[in-house]
Amino acid sequence: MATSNLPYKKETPSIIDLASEDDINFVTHSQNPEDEKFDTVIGELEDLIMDPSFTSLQTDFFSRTYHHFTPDEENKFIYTDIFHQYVSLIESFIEKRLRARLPWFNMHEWVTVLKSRPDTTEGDVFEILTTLGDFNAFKEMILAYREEREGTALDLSDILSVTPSRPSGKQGFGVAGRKLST
Amino acid sequence: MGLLTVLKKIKAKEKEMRLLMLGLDNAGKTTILKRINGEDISSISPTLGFNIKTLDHNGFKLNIWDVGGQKSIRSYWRNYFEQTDGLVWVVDSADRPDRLEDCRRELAELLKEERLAGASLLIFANKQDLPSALTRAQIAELLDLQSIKTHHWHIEACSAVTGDNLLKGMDWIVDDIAARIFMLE
Repeated sequence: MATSNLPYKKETPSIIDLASEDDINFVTHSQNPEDEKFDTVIGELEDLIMDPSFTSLQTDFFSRTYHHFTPDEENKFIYTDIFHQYVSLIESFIEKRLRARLPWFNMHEWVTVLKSRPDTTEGDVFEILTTLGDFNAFKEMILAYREEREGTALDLSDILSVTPSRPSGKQGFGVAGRKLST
Repeated sequence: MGLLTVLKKIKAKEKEMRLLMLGLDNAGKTTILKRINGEDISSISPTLGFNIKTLDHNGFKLNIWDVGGQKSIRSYWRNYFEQTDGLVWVVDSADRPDRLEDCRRELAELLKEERLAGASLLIFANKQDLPSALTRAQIAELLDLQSIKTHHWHIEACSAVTGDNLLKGMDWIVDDIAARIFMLE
């Protein structure tokens, strides 16, 4: 097993990950300005996730898409499309905001730094960002939004099998006939 | 790759594994998933979308994605290839010969997929509780497993109904993935 020559996935560790901690000569700048910049970005991210404009970005997205979601355990394929749109939206918001605040900021470089120093991704802000990129957490959030918006006491939408029209859906399957016993 | 995806991957490193469970319709993917998760399996309908379960196994957090296998929705499988550490291919061992040929062809197509190139492959020859079930060796031959040189693979004869050999199969794939991750550290 250990001698295999399999074509491993692209995301497996690069040379950077393989370097030992004290062998960081691939960092082209001196440590301190780099660390300072890194901390500045963290500070901006901390502000950003508390910002009302960020919250309303999420809420607006939920209000446009929540009607596709049901509390059924089984997921519809459209959830995946919606989730990818959500991740792109959040990522582009973060990038625009950071570039507006920090003219020197470059997302591509920053992501490269994160990958090379995975131990720096500790802390609340990274926990929150990681959760934003998690499908299950996303589904929970959007269902919570739905509950808040529609009330949970009596969920008639399931009983009546009212399915939103999905003109863009490639497949014709709907909710009808897929009542799961949960 | 975007920021959120990169972060998720960094955070998941070495503690989490993503398994993708595929196979023809009615192979028993969802039943296996629920069975290993200790859930009731008496009323499972055909999967028209996908299910996700997260469970702990030998110190690893397994994220298992089970995607519906009906012919009309197999084109959606590709949306779930990304970041897959292990592919679990489920076979109805009592299926018709033409369906088993479909099964062989679909698996061969998947193994050409670049995004699955590094994934370990576990084949579950399911439904061994049925009298007409083919044996592990027969399924291995029909699927032409010997010709697979691109992936670590293993076949396990199992029954989702009795639970036989499900954990054995899971142990193999988790160990195989873990050995790879460990080797690259």
